[in-house]
Parts: sequence; structure tokens; C-alpha cells
Amino acid sequence: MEVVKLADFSDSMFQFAIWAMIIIIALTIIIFLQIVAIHAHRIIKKWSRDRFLAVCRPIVLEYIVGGTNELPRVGRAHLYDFLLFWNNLNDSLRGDARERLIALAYSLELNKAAVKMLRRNNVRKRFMAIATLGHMRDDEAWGELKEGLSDKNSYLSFASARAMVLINAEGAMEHLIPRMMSRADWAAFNMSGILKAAGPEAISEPLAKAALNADAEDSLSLLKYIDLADYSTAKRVVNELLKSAVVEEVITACLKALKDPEALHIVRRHTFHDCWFVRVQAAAALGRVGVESDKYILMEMLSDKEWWVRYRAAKALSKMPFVSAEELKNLQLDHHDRFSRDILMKAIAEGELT
Amino acid sequence: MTVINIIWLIFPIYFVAYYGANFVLNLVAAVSVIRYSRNRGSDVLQLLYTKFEPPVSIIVPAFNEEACINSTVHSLMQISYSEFEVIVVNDGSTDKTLEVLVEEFGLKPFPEVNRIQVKSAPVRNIYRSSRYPNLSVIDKENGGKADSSNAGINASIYPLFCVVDADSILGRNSLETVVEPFVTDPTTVASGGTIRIVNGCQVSDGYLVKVGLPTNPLALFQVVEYLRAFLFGRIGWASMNALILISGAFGLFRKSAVVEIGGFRTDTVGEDMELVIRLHRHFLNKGEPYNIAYVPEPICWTEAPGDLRTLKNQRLRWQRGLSESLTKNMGLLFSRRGGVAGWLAMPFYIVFEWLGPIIEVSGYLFTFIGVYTGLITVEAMWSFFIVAMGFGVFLSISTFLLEEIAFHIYPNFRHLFVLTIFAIIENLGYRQLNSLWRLWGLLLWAFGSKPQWGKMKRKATWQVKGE
Repeated sequence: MEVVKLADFSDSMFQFAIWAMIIIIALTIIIFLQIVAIHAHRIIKKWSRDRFLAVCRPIVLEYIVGGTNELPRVGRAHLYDFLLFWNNLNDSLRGDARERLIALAYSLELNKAAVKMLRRNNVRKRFMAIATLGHMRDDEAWGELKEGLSDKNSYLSFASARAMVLINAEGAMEHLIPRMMSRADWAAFNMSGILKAAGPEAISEPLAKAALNADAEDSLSLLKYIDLADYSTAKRVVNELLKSAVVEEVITACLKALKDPEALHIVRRHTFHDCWFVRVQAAAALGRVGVESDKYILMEMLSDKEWWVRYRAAKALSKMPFVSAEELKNLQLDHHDRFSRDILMKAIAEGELT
Repeated sequence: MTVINIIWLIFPIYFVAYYGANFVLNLVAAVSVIRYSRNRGSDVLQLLYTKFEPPVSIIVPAFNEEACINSTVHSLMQISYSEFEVIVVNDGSTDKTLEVLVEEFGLKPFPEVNRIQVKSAPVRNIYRSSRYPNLSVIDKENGGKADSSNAGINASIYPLFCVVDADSILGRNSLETVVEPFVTDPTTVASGGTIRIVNGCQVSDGYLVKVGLPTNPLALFQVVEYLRAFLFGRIGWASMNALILISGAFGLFRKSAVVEIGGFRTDTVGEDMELVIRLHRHFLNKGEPYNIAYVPEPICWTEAPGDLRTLKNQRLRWQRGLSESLTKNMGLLFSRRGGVAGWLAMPFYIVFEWLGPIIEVSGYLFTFIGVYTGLITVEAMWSFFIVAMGFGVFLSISTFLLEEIAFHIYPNFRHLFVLTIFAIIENLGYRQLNSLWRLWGLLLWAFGSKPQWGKMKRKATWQVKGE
């Protein structure tokens, strides 16, 4: 075995390894020092923030109850911390206290500071700026906030939407609705929170108008929120769409939202729909708004080939005021179809459990 | 160059390739984590959760868990989420798991009518709670965790399900966090999150109240390992939609997708990884857009083994699971429609995770024997060790940097110092021991010995007194 050649080779390899070790150690030390520096910086920042808030919090709280007109001193270093504190406080206040808090912000010219922050390239700070402008109801920032609706970052665009709603809910809807239809990244659970904040008065008419004039895909996007509109508008939209809808998803969404017996004849028609998830919602809707004779339709649906249709029909029957517990039990015992008997047994047991 | 030279060179080349690939993965993960943490800096906006987030079925397979099952279920029932159900699957326990559940939650037999969508062992009885309408318990014949998960899927009524280990500690917001990919991207079929070690932390009423570090050295090594594996490895792969493992401790899945591929396989101990790889194969072959996501935030805390025997058994099982998952899905490797999962992730796992132990252990053995017999010089040996260990330390320290930037879970300097020390000494025996166990697990699989889950000795010293 040629140890000599290996030794020659291993010398250069060893040198390479030594250099590699030196570089690795150096990099490791640098990274470790960086970690220590970040950690120390965080601790110092927290200490500084806590000190600052310990001073300004009592002043702000005194101010909002009218106990003082003294303004807290907010330097640049603590602007973000103060805005965080101010925004959180704003969310928890109502009435005069909130108005005084907003007045405090204007006295400190926080709106100007927020606009400057909005133009920075830092997502966190832009977020804070948008939230501040919204809470301050600063309509001078409307243009900038409107631009924010188109931001690629969903969180920033949502924040802009929320801020606009806080400033002028009705005016905001005009800009929100087209984006509710076009932005796939606008999650329903975020949007519904914003629309709730806007209130039924602001959203009902624009939502109704858009839903009734949109194509199937867009009206489906908007139907998700129809429950948040006022009852009469929601009822009008759902009934109108139900009359004309042919796309199964739209029919399903309408049936889901239906709370009124006006369109009952259409609901009954859909209990025979080819699409199983339409039949599911038709059964559920009959349970909610059906009349006594509808129980026979539901009994027929107990034999549907789809499990979910049978289940919804059984649940609907169990909740109908026209069907007594005894009647339901007899139906379960006497039904000719085994699957119907099983599903009724489940629905009855669930009812007994609750 | 002699044959010995050439053979011996394989080992340092392997280590350079291994650490180089991990370094690239680290960079990819770093970008992803930093972007994620910036976007999540929404301190102020109160994102209101309403009825639009999808409801979830939480499946809890339980085998002989009489000691902790009640507290587990209680803590799950307090999760912050709009609509969910909890399904405990008693997998033929031989202790009083079912009895303690019946007594604690007022369970009554229920005439459930489930559709059998995936195969599972026969179900003996189904119970529903009279006090918690969204809690049910399935009593079935023993079939293992995968089989229990399948039984849970059959009983579930919601479009998403997660399987939670009975000893997993979740955060109150864990479901809200891990469901987000499903809400923001409708093509998501699975989502996982970071699993952290609960040893050394304080838990009260089933929830984490204070983060700490364990004093047990073995557990400390695992803290370093988990940070490296989860923070870099999985995030890196997920950002390329090539994540092939979502931890069995806590993962969220779209039920229709899992049913479409037949549920969990029961002939493997790595059913979690096997399922995810199969999901990739299925959707890639179909040509349908899909997303398997990963949420960098810690969502689940689990107890790490504190003794060598239990740790060894765990690592043997993991390697077996890896072997089974990869070999049962070799069709994904370099397949025409394999995507990043088939062309990058699979080869990486095969070379570095599956077969890697062979090379690693051989490398050490070859080096020692070579030095002893004079075939290899001491300098060459040190070169090899420097490369093998030095990079390991560097990668671990890089992980801590990312952890500090993005999450700063460990609040004290002392924690950082201890973790750094252990990141260094991890390479002086612990990693080598792991390689040995992994090789052992690989050989056990290769020679067809029967897989076993084994039993972990739970200490649960992190539970706050009075619980």
C-alpha cells in the first residue's frame, strides 16, 4: 500500500482542512457575536421601551379622562412603541375617551408621522402607520390608503381596507368590493371582520348591487358575506339570485344563506338537483324555512344515495317543529330503507345528546 | 492515486456535499423565515376570526394513555378556534384509557353511522360526551397509530383533520396558526408547523406557560437537533413545495385529499412521512396544483427522550420509517412529473438521510482503522474530522441566529450560551452515536425484522405542580 503518496496528498489536504477550520471558526464566532448582539439589543430596547411607557402611559390615561392637558413627550426613538400602545388602547376604548385619545394623537401630529412611516420600506412600520391613520380617521390620508389596497402584501392591503372603513365605511365599499371579487389572497375570514366593522348600513346596498350585477364567479365571492348585510337586503339578494342562478356553487351559496320562506318553491325544486351538495343545502334550507308539508320531501331525501344529503335531511326533520319526537322515532323504526333508519338513529341520538 | 486514497476520499467529499446542501437549504429557509416574520409583524391589527375558517377534526390516537389522556383532552377542548371536534381513538388499550375517559367526560354509547372511507381495524363502540357535544371517542381493536388515524378519519365530519399525539402540547392558537395556509391558498392539502422540545419548559393545564431549557444533556442535544431540522430543513423544503415530511406529532390535512389516496398506510412505522410523499406523487401525477405548506412558528411541544435506551429506540424507529417511506414511493424519484420533490428532495433524503449513515459510520471506522494500520496519516484523520464536525457546528450556530431573529423563543443569555456549547459538543459523540443508530435502524429494516413502536418513559417533569 502506498503510504508515501497518501502522505503527500494528505499534507495538502490537511492544510486545506486547517484553513477551512479557521474560516469556520471565524464565521461561527462572528455569527455567535451577532446573536449575542441581537439578543442584547433586544433586551436594551425592551428596557428602554418599558421605561418610556412607564412614564407616558399614566399621562395618556389621565388625558383621556380629562384629568390633564399635558401631552406625553414622544421622541423618534420611541415613536413606534407609542403608536403600538396608542393603537391597542384605541381598540379597547369607546365614546368620549376614544375621542380624546384621537385628539391627543392630532395634538402630537401623529398623522404626519404616520404618513412618513407609510412611505418607508419596512412592512411592520407601514402596517403601524396604516392602522394609526385608520384609528385617527384621517381622511387626508385617503389617497395613500387607497393605493395600499393594491399592495401585493395581503396584510398591508387588509390593513388599508380596515383603515378606510374606519374613516368612511360607505365610501370605502366602492373600492373594496371590486377587490373582494378579484383578490384571491383576500381570505374570507379577514374580510368578514372588516365588513363587520363597517356595519350593515354601510355594506348592504353596495354588496347587493354588486352581487346582483356580477357574473357567477364574482357573485359567489360576494355571497360569502351576505349574512353581514341587513336582513331585508340579504333576503332580496338571495331570493333574486336563487331565481336566476344556474351555477351549482351559486345555488348552494344562496340556499345556505336563505332564511326566508319566500323562495320555498325554488328550494323544493333543488331537492331533486343532480348535484349532491345542492341537495344538501336544499335539505338544510327546508329544515329552516319549510312548512309542514315539506317534511314529506325530507323523508324522501332520507333515501338519497349521498350520505351528506341523508344526514342533512335527518337533521332537518329532527329540528322541525312539525315533527314530534315520537313521530321521528316511529319513522326511524318503520322506514323501509336501512340507510334511512341508520341516519335517523344518528340524528335522534344527537338531538338527545344536546 | 491508490485505491485506498480514492475510497477514503469519498468520506470527506460526502460530508462537504452534505453540509453544502444543508447550507443552501439554510439560505433558502432564512429568506423564507425572515419574510414570514416581517409579514407577521401585525402587532396591531386584530384579525377577527369568524365562521369562515374551515372547521377541523382533531384526531387523537391513544394506546395505554390512562395517565395523561384526560388532561390532553381537556387542553384540546380549550383550543381557541371557532369550530372543531375532538375524536379520541382508543386503540385497543390494555389499561384503563377508555374507563377514565368515560368517567371524566360522561361518555355514552352512540349509534354513529360512519362512512368507511379508508380501511381500519374493526370499531367496537363509539361514544359521545354528554358534556362536550364536540367530543367523541372511538373504541376499536388494536391496529397501531396509522390505523387509529384512519378510524378517526372515517368518524370525522369536517373537511380538515389533524392527528395529534396524546402527549403533544399545543398552543391555544396552534390551530389558527396551522390552518392559515388552507385559508390563504385553497390548493393546500397539508400543513405542518415547528415542533419544539418541552423538556425544561413549564406547562400548566395542558398549555405552555414558560419556555426553558432542559438540564438533561441528551434532551439538550435534541433541542439543538430539532431547531436545526425544523427551522432550516423543513422550511427550506416547504418554500419549494418539496416538503416530504410533516411531523406525526401535529399536522393538518385536507380530508378529501387523504381519502383520495387511501388514508394512512398501516404497514409502516413512518406513516406520517409516507403519507406526505404519497400526496406529492398523487397530485404531481394528476397534474393538479397543490401545496404542502409549513408554518415556521412553533405550534406543538413534545417531550424528548431523556435516556439513551428510549432515544435509541426512537431513532431506530425513525430510520425504519424513513426507509419504508422512501422505498414505498420510489416512483417519485426522478419521475417526469416529479417536480422539486422528486428531483431534489427525494435524492437528498435518499443520499444523506437514508444511506448517509452507511457512509458516515464507514468513514469514521475506515479512518480509525486506517490510522491504526498506518494506511492513513494522523493529519488526514484530523482533516476528515475537521470537515465533518466543523461544518456541523457552523450550521447549528446559523440556526440559532435565525431563531433569534425570527422567534427569540429562548429569552436568556444563559440559554444561548448553553445551546452554543451543546451545538459544539453535539459533534463530539452525539451525532456519531445517532449515525450508528440510524445505520442500525437501516439494517433492521433491510433484514426484515418486525417494527415496533416501543414505549417511551415519560417523565413529564415540565408539568407545573398541582396539575
